[in-house]
Amino acid sequence: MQCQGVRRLLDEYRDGELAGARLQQVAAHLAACRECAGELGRREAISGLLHGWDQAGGDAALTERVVSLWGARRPGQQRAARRRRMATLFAAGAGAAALTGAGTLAVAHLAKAPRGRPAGLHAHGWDMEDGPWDAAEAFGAARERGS
Amino acid sequence: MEAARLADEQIPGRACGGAAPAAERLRRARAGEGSALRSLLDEIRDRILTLCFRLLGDRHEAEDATQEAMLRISLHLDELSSDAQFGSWCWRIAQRICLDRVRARTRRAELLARYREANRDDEERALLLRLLVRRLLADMPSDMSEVLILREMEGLSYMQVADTLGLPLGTVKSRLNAARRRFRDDYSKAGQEGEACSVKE
Repeated sequence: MQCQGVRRLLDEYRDGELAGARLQQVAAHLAACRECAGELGRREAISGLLHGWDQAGGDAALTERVVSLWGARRPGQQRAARRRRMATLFAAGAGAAALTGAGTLAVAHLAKAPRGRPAGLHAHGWDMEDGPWDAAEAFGAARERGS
Repeated sequence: MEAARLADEQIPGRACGGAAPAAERLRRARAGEGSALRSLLDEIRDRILTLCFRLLGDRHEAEDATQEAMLRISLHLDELSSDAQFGSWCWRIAQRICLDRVRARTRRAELLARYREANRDDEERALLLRLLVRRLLADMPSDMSEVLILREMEGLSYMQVADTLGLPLGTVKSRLNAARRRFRDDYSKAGQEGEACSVKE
């Protein structure tokens, strides 16, 4: 095997990824060729810059933090929160509109009524000035009138 | 067979011990089940933290980057195209976050200048060399840096790299060759620029 062919396979050789006849050919060439052996050493040295880096282990607290953040930020949660906000705003708006409407009606009603006494109650002959209306008494009077 | 077994041991999301298969937990996590997500994150956490620590060199920043990566993973589970690729998808997200941080914080010229000024036997010199190596990795195209990191830093076999990234073995070999050539060239160029990066043979 020539130098050019060996150099193409040097990294695979170094990584232990060669087998069989190719492995034997490259090994035999390296034993005999100083330049290719030097190139192998140079590549090993540069690759060595990426070796031996420390490992790190985390703890469950890190996972918990992420799960908690996810719970607050996940799209479904955000959509639900948006729906809740919209529902609250809608309810508040509807309430305000109802109050405004009721207020307007009440003002209009009072403006039409005769001053002094509530119009509706006088129509039925009930005089609020006589005191609290007693339902039982009124029922008794009605029965007497009927009979 | 042996390679596949080893790959399963190394790839998060594949080997699940007594837990439900990753695909099932992914489905439940997407549906909003916190315990399923917790179980998936527990499996990938240490590997991602190690990757971040190696690429950033600082424990505190590594934890910060790991949290950012795991949160991004959690929020984007719907974007994972194949559940079988969960481990490599997570790993790639973490790698991207770290290399972005490396690019943002260190300028190559500044590193070389500091390296040149440091004493030859100084610990600072070794530290600066590692920073330079990280910067060179960050400057590579990501398809190159990922195979290089998996092979050289994590010590995976070609078959395991292929399995992790979901690539054919031949593609891994050619990418790894290209990545090594690029790393050696960049390193030599940096050495010429800084007259400082000689490697003992």
